[in-house]
Amino acid sequence: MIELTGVSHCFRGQTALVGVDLRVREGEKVVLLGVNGAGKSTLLKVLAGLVAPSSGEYRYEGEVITPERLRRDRAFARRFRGEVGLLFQNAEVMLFNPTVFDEIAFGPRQWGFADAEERAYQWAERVGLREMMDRPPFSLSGGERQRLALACLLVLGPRLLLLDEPTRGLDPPATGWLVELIADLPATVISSTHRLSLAAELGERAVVLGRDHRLIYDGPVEEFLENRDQMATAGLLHCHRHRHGEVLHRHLHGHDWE
Amino acid sequence: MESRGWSRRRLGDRLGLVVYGGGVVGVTLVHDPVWLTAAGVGVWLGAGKERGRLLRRALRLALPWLVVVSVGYGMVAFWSGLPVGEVLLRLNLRVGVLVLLTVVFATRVSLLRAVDFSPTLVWLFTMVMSQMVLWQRLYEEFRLALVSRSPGEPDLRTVLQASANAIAWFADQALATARNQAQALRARGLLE
Repeated sequence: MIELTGVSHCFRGQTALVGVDLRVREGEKVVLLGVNGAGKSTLLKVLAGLVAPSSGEYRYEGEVITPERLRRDRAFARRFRGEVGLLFQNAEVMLFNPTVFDEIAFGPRQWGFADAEERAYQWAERVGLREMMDRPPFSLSGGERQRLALACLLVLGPRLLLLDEPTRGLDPPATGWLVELIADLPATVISSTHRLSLAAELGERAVVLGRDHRLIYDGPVEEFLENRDQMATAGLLHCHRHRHGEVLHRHLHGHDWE
Repeated sequence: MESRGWSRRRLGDRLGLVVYGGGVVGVTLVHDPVWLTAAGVGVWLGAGKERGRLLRRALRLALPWLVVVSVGYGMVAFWSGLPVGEVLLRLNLRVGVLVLLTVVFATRVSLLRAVDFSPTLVWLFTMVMSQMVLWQRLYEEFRLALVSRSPGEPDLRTVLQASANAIAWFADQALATARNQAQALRARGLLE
């Protein structure tokens, strides 16, 4: 479904990705790991066709994707944007309609779905916003906005869902709800996170970007989480003094993982 | 120890800053459209190999403002019997030259290197520039979010709605930041 070959991205002298090769099959659940600034968000934007690789090639269903092509080929852009949804790290930037209902119905209306309203109610129900349909999105809490943004994507029935830190701002019950939702989705899902404790819940395959913006691991999540050296290389572990019972010592560890 | 290349670049940046400052003052003092045109051509020619791209960028920045102001002034002048032609010509030329000069300056001169003789100025410009970069990134996020949620080019109504939302969000953030800063200052014994 997705094929990245030697994709690099550099913007205003700042490198975000270096030579990334990646293949993702239909229906896979992939978790994208890496420290802040490793290039996770940029990679997701490349996959959403919003950012052009400086070099290398991105193919979706065999078609070369660039923002330029999406601007020129309207029919293809319409299909691509309908099939690929990106949840932005700051979900607030996605919300601009006057009410929750209009926000969820925006996509289906744009794509001319006859059942736009019905879909909106259905997804509002699923994300727990059914009672807030008349409220403006800006009046919702952070977690509610996150769920609303997710509903805006899911209402279109995407084939590829790209989630940039989807658990950001969610409390533990809402995080649990999201993990269940992702597991049940028939779509291909790529979720980025730096919460190691969630990695195994968000996907069966881990793709890890290193601090040098290169892909340093691509394989089973469990295997990655068992390899401390690899996690340390990725910058996902740290070292400081801490207490184990009466003993004060230091070693590599991750707080939300052990 | 500083390398010779670094010193040379810094000298070039300082010279650029002086030329820019002189240029701004000069263009503000000159009123003759012929001289203003000549200044514009001079800046454009001095912009180097990228002069075409820089001119387009300057035009993109200046045109919306110039059109709104020119139409507004034109209407007022028409009803009030004020002179139109030369005033508008002078205004458009002056703003155009200043914007082009600023675009060329921003592209070719490192402001932080140019003012590194004064830690206060470096601190001040770093603050301003970091804010600009932050807002620029956020603006880009809003734009990309709208693109990703639209099947094609968004219609004018959607663009306006999204823009209004982004402006409200920016205003809200600015207010929240100002409130936080005021509280932080108060917590440290100021503003009481």
